[in-house]
Amino acid sequence: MIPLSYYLVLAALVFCIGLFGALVRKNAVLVLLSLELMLNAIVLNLIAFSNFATPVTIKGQIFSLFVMVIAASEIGLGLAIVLFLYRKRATIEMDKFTELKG
Amino acid sequence: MAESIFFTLATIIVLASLMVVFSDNPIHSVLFLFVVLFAMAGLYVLLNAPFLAAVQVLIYAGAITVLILFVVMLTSPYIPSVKLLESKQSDAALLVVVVFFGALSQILRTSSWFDPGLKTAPKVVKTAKIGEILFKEYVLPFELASVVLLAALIGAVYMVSGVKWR
Repeated sequence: MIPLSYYLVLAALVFCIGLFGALVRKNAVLVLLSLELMLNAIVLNLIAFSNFATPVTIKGQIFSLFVMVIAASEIGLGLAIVLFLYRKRATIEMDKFTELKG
Repeated sequence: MAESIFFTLATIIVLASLMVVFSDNPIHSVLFLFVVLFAMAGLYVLLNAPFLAAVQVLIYAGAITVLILFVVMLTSPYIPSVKLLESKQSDAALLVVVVFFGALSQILRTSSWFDPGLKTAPKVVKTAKIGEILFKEYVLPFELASVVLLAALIGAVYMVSGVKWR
């Protein structure tokens, strides 16, 4: 069988790729996409731990279901904010939103 | 057998998620995200979680990807000039990510999870059991999650509708 550490390393890699995307991309939708990558890495971690650590009570699987619910509402709200910003400012480049700089 | 499936899926996931981040065209990014989510569902099957694999394909790959695709088409026309590596932040971001990954792998190597003797669960978790646990032990979080979803839905509709709140 595949050891747990393989899954953890894969999830860490995907999380780091998503983190890089979230830090670097300018397009707001692509930042949300990178967030989705990170959330998926976390869900993979949870399911791997559920399989190896709590195979009877499957706590990790239940928790990852809740993570999916929160991720769905997060992406819905995030896309609504992106559409709202696009209507107000006609751009979704993150560098252009600098009002909070003071 | 399981090893070869795992390594194929892992290669697909890593390459496709690199393409999500580095692709110039946002539409391609969304389509590569679809590939990542689908391959992740395959890994969930390997991890004895077929119900979550189905949920992943239905909700993530089915609904969320299509939603994001709509928003990409509504907001960002293809702008080839938005080159990723010209971003001022990319060096700092690379540093942050490398340090973060180094710290993560260091924690992993020194932890007890790295032990190859850990065994997987002997058999597949039945979907009925997930429902049983969800509605017996986790009823309150379940109801709270539905309230959160409703609030997010109302918030999204309100924000996009353009109605002034008076």
